[in-house]
Amino acid sequence: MINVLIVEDDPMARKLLEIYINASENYNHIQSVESAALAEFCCRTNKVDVVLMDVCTAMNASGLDAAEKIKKEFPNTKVIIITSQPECSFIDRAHKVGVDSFWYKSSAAEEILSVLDRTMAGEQVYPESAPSLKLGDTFSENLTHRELEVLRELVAGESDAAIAEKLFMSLRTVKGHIQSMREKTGFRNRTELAVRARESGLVINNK
Amino acid sequence: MIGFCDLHYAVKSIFLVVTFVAICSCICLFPRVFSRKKLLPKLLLPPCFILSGAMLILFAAQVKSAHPAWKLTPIIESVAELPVILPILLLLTVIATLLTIVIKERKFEKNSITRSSVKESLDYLNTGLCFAYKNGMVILINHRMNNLSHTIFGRDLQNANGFWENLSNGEIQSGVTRLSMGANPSLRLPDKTVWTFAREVIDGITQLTAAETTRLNKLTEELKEKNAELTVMNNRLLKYGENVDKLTREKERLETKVRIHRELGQALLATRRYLRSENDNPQELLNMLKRNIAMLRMESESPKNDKPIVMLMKAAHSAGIEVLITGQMPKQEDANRLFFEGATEALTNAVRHADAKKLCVELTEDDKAYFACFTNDGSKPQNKIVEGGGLGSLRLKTEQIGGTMEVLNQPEFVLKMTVLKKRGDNL
Repeated sequence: MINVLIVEDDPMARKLLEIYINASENYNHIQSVESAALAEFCCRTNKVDVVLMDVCTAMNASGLDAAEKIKKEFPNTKVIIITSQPECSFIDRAHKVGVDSFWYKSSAAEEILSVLDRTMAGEQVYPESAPSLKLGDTFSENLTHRELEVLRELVAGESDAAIAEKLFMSLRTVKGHIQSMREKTGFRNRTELAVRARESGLVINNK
Repeated sequence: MIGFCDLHYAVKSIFLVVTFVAICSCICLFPRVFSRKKLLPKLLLPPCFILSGAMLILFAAQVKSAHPAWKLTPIIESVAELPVILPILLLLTVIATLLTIVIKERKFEKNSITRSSVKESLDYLNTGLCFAYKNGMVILINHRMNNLSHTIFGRDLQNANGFWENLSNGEIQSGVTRLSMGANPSLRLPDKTVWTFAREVIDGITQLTAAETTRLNKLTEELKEKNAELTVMNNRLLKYGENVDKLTREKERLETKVRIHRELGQALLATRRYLRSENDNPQELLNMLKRNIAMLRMESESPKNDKPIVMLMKAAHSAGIEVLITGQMPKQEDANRLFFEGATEALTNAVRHADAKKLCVELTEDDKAYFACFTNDGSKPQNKIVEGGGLGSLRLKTEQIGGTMEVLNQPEFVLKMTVLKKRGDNL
């Protein structure tokens, strides 16, 4: 039996995952925790073969941060990130920290179990690309990597000067990126851009 | 040839006047010319003066000799007999030389800076200026600074040090408002202009300056207002982001319910097919039904999350570790999150390095801050604790919100954290 740890802050989604795992013959649900901050501890105190983890968890703990620690400390433990957020940087970050598989939460039980099976068979299961989101008059793939970085800080309520300092760019460059995004999306001002971007889930920045 | 004696009395008088004027001009030019470095005027002026003087004496003597009873000295007589053209030429030469010197002097005065031109230019400046000795005694002050002193304090600027101190602390005239203190005090005068003062000591000389910053002040105030608006807007954006998070969770929950009902529908269809003997895999149907029953039970129970500290205790308990907590978790969100993270880090380290069975969490607070102290009953650290990824990241997060973190390894491992209370945090 393969021991599964579930890290999910939404109680209903967590329970649903538990039901999927318990109904399966190959997997053994050993523990569920709400916060990714506790994931490393659970891996240390239990024999965990695979961690099924959300990105945004309780107490603002990031599943990707926890995945990085787990893969460093327990390289044999498989980590599967499941999220409902279309944040474009999540897939890149997951690749970077060595997450074994990445999938979206809205999938059916069979699909989730299939991802589990394939991951345990040594396959890396990732979506082909981040979902395309409409933002005003444009789509997410038409925004550059740097523009998305600026947008991520913008939705966190940072001023242009603070964004410039954080991303090591000049104030003029930040304003240029914001202007470029406004032209692409057709939004009237930076606030509208930030609000719509936050609503779409394209960029998430929970400080 | 016509001699000087033969000239008409009126012409002689003109000669005398012109010569007298030349002498006066020489006398006037002496101090100026000899205060300059140029050599040529110094060489030319004395001969001009001597010649003019000599001519004046001679002409005066000859004019007097017009009286027939008078006897002239032989020298004057011989000069008087000289052709008149000679004294005229001589006088013209002297006048030309003096004119050249005067023109050059005028040019020099126009093109070079003198003490008076420095004072004059300072007085015309719109900036207030005052130079003083170390004890405050004024060396040089311009009109603007004096006017400012009058407007602000109602008196002349007598001592630069006293003036500077009074700018920040002294009694000021009614209608004058202090806008800012410190290194560069700013004051608004009754005419609504804003003046900013600065003090600098250069080679032992104190320099006070006053610059009009009315426009700058207005722009700064506008910028402050805009920044305040922006801060409010950014905070609202942040709050809005949190609301969006909540909405997203609600949406997720709704999608979960939709998924449950979809699966329920699938189970019903599978059951129908089985009853019609179209499906010959009862185990698959049984699994599906089991899953559906569990889902329906879950939906009716509406599972809820535990409090963060409870979830920590549960996770620890499942690993056979007891968590003893004294005090309450802070209500302030950032402190609450940080202490939770501290507790998980302390719990992980207690298992990883100390093989502990008990984690003690002491939570206290006073008027200014929240305090957390984490200890365990495991083995004592043998060496100095090196802050790696976990503790290092925790320290970074603590310092980011203005808190402090302390790690002690003797006599036992202790992790102490402090987070300052935010203003208006009612507990």
